[in-house]
Amino acid sequence: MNLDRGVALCILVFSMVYAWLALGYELLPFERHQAFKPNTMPIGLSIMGIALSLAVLLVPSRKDSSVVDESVVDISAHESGNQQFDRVRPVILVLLMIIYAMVLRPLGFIGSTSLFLIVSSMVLGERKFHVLVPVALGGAIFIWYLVQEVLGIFLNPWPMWLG
Amino acid sequence: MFDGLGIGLSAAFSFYNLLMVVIGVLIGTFIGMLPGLGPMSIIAIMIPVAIKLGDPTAALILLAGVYYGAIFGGSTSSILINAPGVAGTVASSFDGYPMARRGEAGKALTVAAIASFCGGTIGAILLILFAPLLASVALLFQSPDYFALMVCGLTAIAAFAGKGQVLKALLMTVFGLMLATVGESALHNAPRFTLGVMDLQSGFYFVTLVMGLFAIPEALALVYDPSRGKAKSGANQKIENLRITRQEARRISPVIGRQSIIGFLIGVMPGAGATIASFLGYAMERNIAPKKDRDEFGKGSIKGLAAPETANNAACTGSFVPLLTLGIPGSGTTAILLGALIALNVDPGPRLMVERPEVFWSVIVSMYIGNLVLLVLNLPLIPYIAKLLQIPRNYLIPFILFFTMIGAYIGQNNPTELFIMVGLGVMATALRFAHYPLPPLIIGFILGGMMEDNLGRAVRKANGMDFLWDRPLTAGLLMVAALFLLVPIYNDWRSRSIKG
Repeated sequence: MNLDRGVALCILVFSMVYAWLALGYELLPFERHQAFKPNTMPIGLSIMGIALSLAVLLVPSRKDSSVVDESVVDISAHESGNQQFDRVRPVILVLLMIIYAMVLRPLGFIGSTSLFLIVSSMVLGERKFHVLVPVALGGAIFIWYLVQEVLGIFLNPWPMWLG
Repeated sequence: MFDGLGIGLSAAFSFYNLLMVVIGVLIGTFIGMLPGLGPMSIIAIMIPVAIKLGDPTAALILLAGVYYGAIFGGSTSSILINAPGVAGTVASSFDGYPMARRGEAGKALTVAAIASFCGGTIGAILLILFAPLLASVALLFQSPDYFALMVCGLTAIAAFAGKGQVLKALLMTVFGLMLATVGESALHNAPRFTLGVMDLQSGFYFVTLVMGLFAIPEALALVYDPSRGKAKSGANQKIENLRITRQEARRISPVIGRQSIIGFLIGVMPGAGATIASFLGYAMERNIAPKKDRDEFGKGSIKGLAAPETANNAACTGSFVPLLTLGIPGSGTTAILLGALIALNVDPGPRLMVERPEVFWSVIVSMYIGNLVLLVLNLPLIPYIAKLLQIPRNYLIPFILFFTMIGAYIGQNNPTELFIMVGLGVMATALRFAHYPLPPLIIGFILGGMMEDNLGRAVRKANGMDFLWDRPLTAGLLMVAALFLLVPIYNDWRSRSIKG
């Protein structure tokens, strides 16, 4: 099964779970007799989701299909024509983002941001620490100043245990 | 109209709003030059800043400036390094990059700037003329008509998704609508589909969704495919001689005139946009050019560069027409702008012109100012801004990821948003690899709440679904929506039958 059908299968499963949750939604007594209930549109959407994902699964895909996307150019391997793909580093960067979310409050903004920038750059191959560390630290402090002092959005710079 | 223009001029020419135009255009150009970030990602990153400004006029002026600044910045990387990070500037690289390779990078950038300025300016004039007309017609709309209009807009966007992509685009639209039902709705106060997670009581925060869907996959794509967006040549060349001759100006003038109008009209159509306008503009000018000019296309023709540049800027302006007059986004980018307006408690739609004329008119006037800033300020700064293209990726990518995360975090001050954003980013990356278009998803998400509200009101008032055929306007719009869907599906089926 190719990737687009795999995605359609995932969306089919999602739509079925969504339908189950929509049908099981507990209506309040006064809602039961309304023409338009809280689960009316979700039920309609789940039917459409199931029908469309089945259609994508069952209709043969075109080889010459093209994507017109207003965001960046498609990231398909075939279009770039380059066979040297890095599959490991994107996964590591995603893990680092999750870790950043977990330590943001415990370590404080400046500490967690500096660490994230330093470790991410190291993962991407940067080894000039005399440049990397000042850039990461300086960038974190500058962004903290911009957000908290200029825009007035609170961002605790220090670890939680420092108060 | 003249009263409105007066309001717009006085608001747009205030020092604060002028500053927002300049900052927006500079930031948009600055970040738009970096391959890997499209205007949607850039605007998504700027939205938390715009929302914190508090003033909807200033916020929309800032974001609009970022939008066309990003288009211009994307043209710059398209011309200098043949790395069009913005789909709407791909056509600019066909002739812009060959011009840069033969040492005419300065001239190419000047042609791009002038063409963009003219396209955007003529687009702004057409917007001033058409928008009030459309807004006054739209005041006749009621809930059933709004619902039908949104269905029409969503199906048009799916229909324009590309050959063989209609089903996937529709699926993404429905998926976006499903995500919009999470949390509380305006009609029913009880939360739905939160699975007990308190942070989802108000639904998904749209900045989180947008960052996760657009900015993260782009950054990860730069790591996955190291050749993507790499400088091939031109980034290191000295950019000088930012002049064009009178003869060259005479050659491109008719091109600019035609593509300004055509690009604007294409931009008005939901689902079409800068990308389609730029490709159509390029193809049209090549087909109507005299033979000796036609042979130059693809090898460094200034007409070949002027056409898509004019069309894409005019289309960007045109895409604001449905947003400002009907509250319907015509593209992924204007969908994000619509989300920003809602977050600022501005009710987009035909009443915007009546209830918030200062927002409506100042955005339109600021487009003209923004185009002027692009021409006057950016062009001399291009040789210096171009040095950004030399930022090593080892620093660029972590900072892009960091900006997306901080953008999602500061909106709600809640680390849960980061987890949601990373999850959405991974999902969006998989969707991109599988060739699923993402703009229908975000448009479905943003319109989902309004669609449900209008549908609910229409059903309750009619006590059933009779409203679908009772009102001629509703029925007409739904028939147009059906045509939008059926024509590409039929064409697809026919071409498969012929091939098979």
